Amino acid sequence: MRLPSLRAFMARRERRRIEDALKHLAGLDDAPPASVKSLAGHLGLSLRRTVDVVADMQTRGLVAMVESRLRLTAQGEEMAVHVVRAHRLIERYLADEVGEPLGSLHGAAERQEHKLSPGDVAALDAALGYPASDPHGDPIPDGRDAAAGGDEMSLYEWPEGVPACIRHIEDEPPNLLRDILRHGLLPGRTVEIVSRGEGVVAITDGATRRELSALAAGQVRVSSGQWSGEEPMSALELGESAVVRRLDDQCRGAARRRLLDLGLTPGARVASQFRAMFGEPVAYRIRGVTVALREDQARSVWVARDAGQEDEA
Amino acid sequence: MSRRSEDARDSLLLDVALAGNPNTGKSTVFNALTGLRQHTGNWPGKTVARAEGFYGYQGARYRLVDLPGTYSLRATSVDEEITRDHILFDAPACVVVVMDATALERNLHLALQVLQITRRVVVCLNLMDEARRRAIAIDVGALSEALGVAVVPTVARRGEGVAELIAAINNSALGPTSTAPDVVDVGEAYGESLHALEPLVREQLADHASYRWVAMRLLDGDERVREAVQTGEFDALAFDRDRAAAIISEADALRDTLDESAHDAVVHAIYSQAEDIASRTSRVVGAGRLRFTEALDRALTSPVTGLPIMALGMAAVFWVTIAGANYPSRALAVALFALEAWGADACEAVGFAPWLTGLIWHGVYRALAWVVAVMLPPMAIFFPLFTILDDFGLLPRVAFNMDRLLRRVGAHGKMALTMCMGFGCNAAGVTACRVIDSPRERLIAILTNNFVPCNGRFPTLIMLSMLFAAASMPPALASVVAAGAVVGVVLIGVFVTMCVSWALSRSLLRGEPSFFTLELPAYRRPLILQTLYTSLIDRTLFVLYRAVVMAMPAGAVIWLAGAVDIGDVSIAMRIAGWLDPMGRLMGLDGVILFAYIAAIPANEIVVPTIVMTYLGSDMMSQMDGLDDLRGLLIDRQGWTLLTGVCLMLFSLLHNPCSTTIWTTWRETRSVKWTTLGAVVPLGFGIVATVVIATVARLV
Repeated sequence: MRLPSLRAFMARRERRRIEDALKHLAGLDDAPPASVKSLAGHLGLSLRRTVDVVADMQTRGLVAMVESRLRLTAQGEEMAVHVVRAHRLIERYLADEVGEPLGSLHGAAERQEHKLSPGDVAALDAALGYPASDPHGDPIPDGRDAAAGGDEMSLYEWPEGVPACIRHIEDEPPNLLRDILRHGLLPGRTVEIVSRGEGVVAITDGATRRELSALAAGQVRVSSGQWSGEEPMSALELGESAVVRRLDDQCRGAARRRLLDLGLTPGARVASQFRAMFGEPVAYRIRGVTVALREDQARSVWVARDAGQEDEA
Repeated sequence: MSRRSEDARDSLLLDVALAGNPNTGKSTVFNALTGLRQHTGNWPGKTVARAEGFYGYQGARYRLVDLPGTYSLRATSVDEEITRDHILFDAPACVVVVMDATALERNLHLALQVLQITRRVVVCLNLMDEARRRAIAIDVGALSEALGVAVVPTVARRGEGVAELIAAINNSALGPTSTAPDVVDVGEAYGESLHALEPLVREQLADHASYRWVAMRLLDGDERVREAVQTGEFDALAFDRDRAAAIISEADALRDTLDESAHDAVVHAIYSQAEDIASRTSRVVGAGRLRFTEALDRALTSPVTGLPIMALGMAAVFWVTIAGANYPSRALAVALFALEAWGADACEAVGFAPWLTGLIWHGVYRALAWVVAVMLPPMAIFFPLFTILDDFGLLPRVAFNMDRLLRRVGAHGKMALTMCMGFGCNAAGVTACRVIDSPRERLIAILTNNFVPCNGRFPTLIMLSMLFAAASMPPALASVVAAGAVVGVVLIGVFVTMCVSWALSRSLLRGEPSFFTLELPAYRRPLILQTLYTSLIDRTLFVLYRAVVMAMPAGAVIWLAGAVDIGDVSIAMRIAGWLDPMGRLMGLDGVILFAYIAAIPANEIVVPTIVMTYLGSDMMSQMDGLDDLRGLLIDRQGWTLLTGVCLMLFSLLHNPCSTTIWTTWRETRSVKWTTLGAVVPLGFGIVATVVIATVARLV
């Protein structure tokens, strides 16, 4: 095995710092001005080291001081978009093709994003079929612009009794993200606030009522949504049948192809047959065949009940 | 392709591929067509089994290739990749699509995809008996008309329709074929892109019938098809590099405009067509319900009745294996050891040097005889039993029930099956991990398989528990305690499997269990004779062969170590002497450790090696019955209960035998995982025994 040389290690570290700095600066472009101090906090470096990094970035033409504020140059902007794009595409890849849980995507992408060249990123984008958003619901910039959502607000501020569509879930801090995911909330899902309590928001996803901490609800961005009469296939009771409407947008890649190939296409009739000994998986009748699906798989199939006939053949 | 004259056909070899969904009775069709003229191997570079068989018809020879069971040709899994590649690039003379007559829609989904690639297709509508039982009436003529190819109804397990199938294959392979590809409505967005790309591809591929399908795959971003277009693999003669590059760039540009829903529309379109054909050609007449399957499923998946049924089933399989193997094992041992005595005498009479006679007969031959006698009978019983339960449909239900528990530790429900297979032989268990289709869970199953004790280790476990139970208890109680001890060891093995799976899935193999697809087919009466034959060939003889190859050199080494003296002491005793401090620390002794090193090739020879080394003679097994053994081990060598416990534990937790190590390497193609699979159990064994021995000495 060849040991990476010290020089390569230093170069990689430098690249990582610069790119992290770019992301930070790009994120704050229209907000309060980023300073060397806030950058130091973000990178976890001493002020002295941060000045070195900024000086280095200046010589590379990535940042400029405009009226004593740090601003990205056009070149820096472009590179920042590259890193963000790499980050979100990697998350998309890990979620779709590797099956990593949503909660652990961010850390892995943070490490990998610095290793891809623009060519790699373009190839990854093509291989994934040009996805529009990352698994958290953030748009993936396509090299031209990184537009943010319009009329979104946090779920915590959303009025009661009005259906809301989840647009985006903050991926940091990770423990809050895990808490949100535990409730089955994903971008694209519709929810409604039932009541508000002391530091708690009670919501319903149409089938079950869930209690979310106010802190977690603040992490979820929503815009106005609509109930569609659809529910996840996992909500079917044993013996009930329904018609498939669509697969969830968040179910992508190999997992999606699998479900489609099994015959879970719009219009297909499904019936819930029996449960395994310990409650999961559940056996479903799909196009004349009995197939066992785990709960998270069944959750990504949206079905509509019809005048409930119990036909299993 | 035109009709050939009878003379020319004498030397004609035609390739026929057998495709189909899983659980359609594809391998039964394969066996019905080829009989015993078949051999199995792997697809080149892949760990997917490939079966190939031959048959003759009207002077032509047919080579039948059994493709892996798949749901589609979109190349989501290795199985689908192999199927797609074979049909597209190896261009067989005819593709037989085996369909389950009871689930037309889903089976048509694959058939329609195959038909997009080639029109030389014969549909084998299998399981017609089940369809009749479920009162499903199928209009075969109408189905044939809708698909544009021959449809042959069969009941392959009874040989019904096989003659017609052979004739239809012949017609399809040698007769004229319709070239018009069918048109599937693929939705607006996708349809426009396809419409733009199709003429380009058609021009490039000239007379290759599958241009439409190739265009669709390009739009879906299929790397392999893209590469084939770029390199002119489809049509080397008409290949034009610039035109190929133009096609690729056009395809990429079009693909950029399509979103996920456009790709879904293709699957949806094929399924809609399948629905349409199925509804036109089949209908349910009367109430055909699967009462037996439904009732049995209810019983098996209820926690109240399911657990006892599964536990009893397992117990029955083990009991039949151990009890049934007992007598043939002894008979084989008597016969083979008699041959050894006779052979040694003969060699001496001829005037061989004593060391040569010893090496050949008391070393190499004896190890071989021992392994065959101990290993063959239980495997010849266990593997067919296992396969019969699988064919019947019981094992998929076990995987179904166990999935929740295994998922908790990051594994796949089917790991329950590979663990069961491990009881027969860990090498076979590791190979069986192929049924797990997601790579991470498959690797977990491979690496932990060694934690279930195999047939080669059971005799050691049983002997030890009998030895110590019989030494201290009345006979009636002794056998119960002994059985309990063996069960205890098995449970420890299962527990360690869970712990290691959990640790692996949270460290080296991080991530959520990804894909899970498990079909639960209707229960079917298993084909006993066919199962006996194939499991004997596929598993038993294969594993036995590997074990024998490994055991023979080991026999030579053990004999030499026992027979050659350095100073006054044999090599074996010397090595045992060096290992003794380590052995004592582990509650064992040097001889036992030496035996485990010598027995890496085959766990069966652990006990004979221990006995041989203690006796200091070249006799590998001159002990008859438990009393002799007890006299030697407990009375003379001073084994205590602690020795017994530590030895049983170490027998469960130590490195896999060399056959399993080799199989692990073959299945993973990775030195790293193979090493880990060998070192982790050994580490567990050393730590566990050292801890127990230390605690026992302190108390």
